[in-house]
Amino acid sequence: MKIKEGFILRRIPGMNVVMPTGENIRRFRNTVTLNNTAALIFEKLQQGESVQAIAEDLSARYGISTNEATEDINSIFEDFLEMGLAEK
Amino acid sequence: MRNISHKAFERKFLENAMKHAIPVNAAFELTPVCNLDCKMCYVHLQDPSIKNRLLNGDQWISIMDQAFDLGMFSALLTGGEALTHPDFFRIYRHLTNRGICVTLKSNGILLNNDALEVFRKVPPTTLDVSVYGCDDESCRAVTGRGIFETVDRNLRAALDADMPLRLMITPSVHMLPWIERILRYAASFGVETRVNVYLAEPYSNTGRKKEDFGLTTEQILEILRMAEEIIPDAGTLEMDEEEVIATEKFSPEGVGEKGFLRCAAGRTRFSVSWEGIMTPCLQFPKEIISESVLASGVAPAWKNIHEKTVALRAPAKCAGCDANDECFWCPVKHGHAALSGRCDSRTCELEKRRIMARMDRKEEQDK
Repeated sequence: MKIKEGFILRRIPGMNVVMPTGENIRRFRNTVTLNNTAALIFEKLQQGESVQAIAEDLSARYGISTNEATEDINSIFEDFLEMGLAEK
Repeated sequence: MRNISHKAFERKFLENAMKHAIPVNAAFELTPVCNLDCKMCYVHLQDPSIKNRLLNGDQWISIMDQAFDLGMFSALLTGGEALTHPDFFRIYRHLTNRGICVTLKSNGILLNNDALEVFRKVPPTTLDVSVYGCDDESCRAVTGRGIFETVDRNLRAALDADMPLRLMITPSVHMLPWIERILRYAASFGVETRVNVYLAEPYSNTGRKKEDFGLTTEQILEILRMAEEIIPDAGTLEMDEEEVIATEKFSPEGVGEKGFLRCAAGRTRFSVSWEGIMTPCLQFPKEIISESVLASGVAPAWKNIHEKTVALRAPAKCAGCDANDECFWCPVKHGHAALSGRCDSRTCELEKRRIMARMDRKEEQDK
């Protein structure tokens, strides 16, 4: 699971926004806004963290089981895939 | 998680930025140098030594990186002619590599194959090109040069290359004899076209004066009428998105009592001049609000610009004006009068007439 090259996550008060960068601007014309959990997952995937490590982080932050966290990550990753932000 | 169009995003985004005072939009006047000499230009300087005083690419990139850290998402690169800046493409690539939406404002002369090659790979969000004429004679009357064929060829090449082209027409007395043909010429491209009837007072060091090229209210209204007829969706009578949002969200004293600067200037937007002077927006009179980003850095300059903008009040006389519900007192539009906190009577007249025309049209549409 990885985020494709050519995207940047911008965090400003009230919003998390994924923007295309460089030559990716030509291919990716839309803008993606993420909620805080999706932004965290995006950021960690972009940093190369494993699903297991991200699930443990989410579990600690939100007091959910790692299984639940893994399900959430998988679901959000499917959205990333559909939007063209990620690849398997 | 939502994947939304740029238009929908922009609206939500501006609302959020206004709420948190984030300077999401910035304009950078890279140079006062230009390859034309337009008689109504507020910035162009001809002193050849200016070229040695320009901020270089590293300085601009440092300013832009600081703006990025504050939350800048889009940058307007302008001049003078921005493409004449020696480091233009380095600056452009730096911004796009950081995911910034870049709008380039240009006269189109240097929009040649080399430039298009760069923009094909990494397109700007908007390519704003000024249309000065419909043939060499009209171009020469406005800009001093017969540039029609060059610009026409470049515009068509940009269109063929699927560039996000937008045309800008800035009428002045020098353009009047050809204005209808120019509007028709611009309309023939079938792209968004804006008509800017609010000419800025030129910087004092340009030696130009607005009274030498400004239009009468009647002339402006006739041009607006013509533009609405010739260019579909010209929207010359409408408020822009920023004005609408500002009206909806930022009238804490109520619409009737408003007296604030109600656009995005100084709230979500700033501009930096070629000398490194920050103002609330491009063309905003430096005498009213300005800060040097070279002296203090971008963050402290923005903080001061924002605070001063929020504290700025429209002239007291606006509160008793019939047009106050719809009018926006704008120091750029009121020129010299704004420097002493007053309204310019000609601007007031134009605003009132423009508002009336807008209301008449709405009434007509509602029938």
